[in-house]
Amino acid sequence: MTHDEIEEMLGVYALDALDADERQEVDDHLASCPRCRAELASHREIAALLGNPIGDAPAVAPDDVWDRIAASLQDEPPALSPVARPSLRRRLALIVPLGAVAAGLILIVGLLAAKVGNLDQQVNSLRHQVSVTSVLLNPAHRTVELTSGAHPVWRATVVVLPNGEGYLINPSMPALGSSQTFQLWALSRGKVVSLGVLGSHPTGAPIRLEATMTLLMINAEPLGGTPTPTTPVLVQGNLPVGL
Amino acid sequence: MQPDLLDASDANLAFAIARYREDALAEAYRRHAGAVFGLARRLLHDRAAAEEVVQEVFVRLWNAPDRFDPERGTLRSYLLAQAHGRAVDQLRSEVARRRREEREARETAHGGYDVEREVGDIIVADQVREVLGGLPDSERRPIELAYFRGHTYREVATILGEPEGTVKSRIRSGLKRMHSQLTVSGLGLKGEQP
Repeated sequence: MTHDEIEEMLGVYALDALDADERQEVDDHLASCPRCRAELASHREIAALLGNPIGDAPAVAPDDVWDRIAASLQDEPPALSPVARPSLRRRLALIVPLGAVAAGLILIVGLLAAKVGNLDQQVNSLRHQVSVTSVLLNPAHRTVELTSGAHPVWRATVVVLPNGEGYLINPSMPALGSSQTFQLWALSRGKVVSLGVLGSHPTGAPIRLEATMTLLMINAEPLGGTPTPTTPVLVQGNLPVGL
Repeated sequence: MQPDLLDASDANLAFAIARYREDALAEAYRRHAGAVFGLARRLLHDRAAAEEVVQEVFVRLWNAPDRFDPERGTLRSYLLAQAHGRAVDQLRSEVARRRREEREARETAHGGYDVEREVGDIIVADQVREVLGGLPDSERRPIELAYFRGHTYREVATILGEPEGTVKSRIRSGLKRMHSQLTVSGLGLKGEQP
């Protein structure tokens, strides 16, 4: 199908009213057409409003459904496993030289000592530190320093593997108000693109970089983030070529 | 639950879910499961089947939290879209299709379908209902038949006795019209006007 023919199907697609074979064709086209993706997003928004019972008496999902969901989550792999699920929880398969193991252990101890919170937080941050440490232990990792140009001097470090998997560590950033979050941006082919919100305590936030990105920036945005930056950059740093 | 989640944005909830925080998933469930359940039950006319959809949608959010992109819309929109897709898949499965055809045959015997009344039953925000109701019939009816009845556009074309191409373009133009009218009326839509 041509671009125009696909475009004509986007409304139907957003309402889930395409046959499976046509849906596949549209999916294939969407992967390479930002214009159609944008139009589809707009149609989907309307579709969601149609389905959204904002109003006086929204239906209440029964509690036992939540119980079933919670029970099925416990069938997941143990939470502490660093062999995580794809993407945000990226699979780590690393062969680590012995000397690096020793260095890594010292690093883990250091990271843990630096972050003593309540028990629950410790479990979460331990899980994360295992991932961060795995990246640091991989000899192929690169380090990118983000800094502010002037006073006050804010900093953050990004460690990243050649496959683009990375984490933000050691941030020294201003305290944010409760309605703000840090957001990460990259310059990619001359355009500023969002790499997602980092929360107000971005230590260990997972990051996915691509080869086209040349500059990383962090600023503060309203909670939930924004599609384009609305406030000045706090810290920035150039990415090495051929990452 | 930790206090930081109670007023967390959807994006931060998704981020916490990606960090295996079950309390974040519970908070997302508290906020949005009612709407998801309402839509699924509306489409499937079957409480157990609707509960199944709710379960699938939230387990998927847990397993693939990064499928939700905060830049493309709210978490609720995302979850409702997921629920709609799943409910429609179920509707199109053979058994469900037969049951639906029987039900629709009964309804026809009692004076034909009246999607407009049914749409009124589901509590859509007044503004959205008004804008949908204000569309020309030629655009409104195919949108209702597709979205609220789960028909494919080909089925819609048969039901309305219109060419398939006409149904496709009327659904698209109707959605565009709704988008621009809701934007004008001040509803905070994120997407650009296509």
